[in-house]
Amino acid sequence: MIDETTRIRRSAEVAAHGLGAGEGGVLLHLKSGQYHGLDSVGWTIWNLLDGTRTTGEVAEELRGRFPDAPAHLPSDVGTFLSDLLARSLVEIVSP
Amino acid sequence: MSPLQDSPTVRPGTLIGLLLRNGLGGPAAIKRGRVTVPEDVDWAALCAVSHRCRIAPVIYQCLRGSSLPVPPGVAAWFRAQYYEAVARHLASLNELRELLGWFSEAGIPAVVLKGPALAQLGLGAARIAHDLDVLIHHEDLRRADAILVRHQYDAMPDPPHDFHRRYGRPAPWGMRVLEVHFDITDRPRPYRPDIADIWERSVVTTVFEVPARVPELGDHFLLTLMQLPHHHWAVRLIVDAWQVARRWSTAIDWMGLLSRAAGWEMGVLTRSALHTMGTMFDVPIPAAVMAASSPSGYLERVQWRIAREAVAEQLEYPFRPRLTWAAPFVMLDHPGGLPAVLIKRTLGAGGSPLESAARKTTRRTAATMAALPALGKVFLASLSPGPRRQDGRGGR
Repeated sequence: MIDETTRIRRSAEVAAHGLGAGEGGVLLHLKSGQYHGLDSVGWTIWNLLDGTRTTGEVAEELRGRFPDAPAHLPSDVGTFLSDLLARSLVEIVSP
Repeated sequence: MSPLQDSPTVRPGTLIGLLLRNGLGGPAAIKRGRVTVPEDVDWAALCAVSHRCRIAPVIYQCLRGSSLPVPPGVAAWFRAQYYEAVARHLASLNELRELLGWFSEAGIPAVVLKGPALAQLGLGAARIAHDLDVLIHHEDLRRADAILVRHQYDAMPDPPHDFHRRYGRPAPWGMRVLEVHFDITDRPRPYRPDIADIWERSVVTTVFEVPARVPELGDHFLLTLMQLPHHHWAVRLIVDAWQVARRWSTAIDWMGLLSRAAGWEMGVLTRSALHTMGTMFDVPIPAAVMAASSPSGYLERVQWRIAREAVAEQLEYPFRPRLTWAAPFVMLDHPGGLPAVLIKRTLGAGGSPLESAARKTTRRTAATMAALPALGKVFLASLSPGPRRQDGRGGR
């Protein structure tokens, strides 16, 4: 399970491509062949998932970039990361 | 006149032309205010033509940059095409990285042709590509073959070509096709690119962060145009060339390009393609090059007109090919070679290995016969001068 202390990184089996400023990106899982579109916020989060930040720190960083983000931003980030994890696009970094 | 008037529906080709000019033409086109996208659009036709021409992802980008109110379902369809193109592009890059790694370990030099290398110069990840193309030296072919077989590539059961081999490898996103060229000249075709010079001029660069050797810019451009006849003047290749011309216009030695094209015996093809791009789509080709690309004499007017109409009819909906199947065989620098090209086309190799020789010959002959009425019209129409570029530069 993901909580705010969990560190998450991008899977090495995923190729990613940004679509330009404000346009998000596309992820391709190289093993399954499934591809996924991310909006600009999702793409921003994706680029923060280098394994050094906790989920809480990702949410904080995001709030810094999107000052008008809603109060439930941390839970939205958690849900998004859970979705990524369920699709094997990210992995949890062992403590 | 009836008081009830249906508003004229914009033809998809017209709209695609407008969108491409708007989206690819750069700020100058918009600034001049030449592009006004109409609103009475047949969206289903636009989707159909974009898909058939394999330009839906770039049309999506152009739509995003326009003020056109796109119905949500249409926008979602175009977006899905775009995402799929980007995903394919990622898959291609992954495969390219692997392939070049294996060849590099084995000391096999390779030049990346078309595909991602062309995407890097032009459309980027929005370019639809289904296969990879690399050029190696002929003497490395056997070693390359062994490497590919070791990595689960199977030689495809095509008729053996004397210029490339095709391999397939199953992947989660479908069969990946790799074409390993050891020559570029397709013998039945009349063009003669100088392969030794292409090797010598090739440069090492990065293709979307993958280190790779690619053809020099002018060679790359000409090799793109050289595909036009083989692909029946496909609009996607025109868009490729358009993008390269737009982005690299100042880096291309245009007059040298024309000279090199003549040396490759594809002067008519190159000049007619540049003229078509300049007159139909306002591609920013220097005025002197447009002037040098104008048709000279009756026969060239015929050839130029065929090129334009082959492109134009692909943008029509519904698609009723008239010239498309015949257009590839008239772009010759030496028209005396036309009978030989037609015979090779009708009886020669190529096409599906599952098709019998008799069926292939019948089909190809029928396609050429079906094009005869349209060809006749072109011959008659070419008695008058051809189209002039709208801004008056070049053309006739």
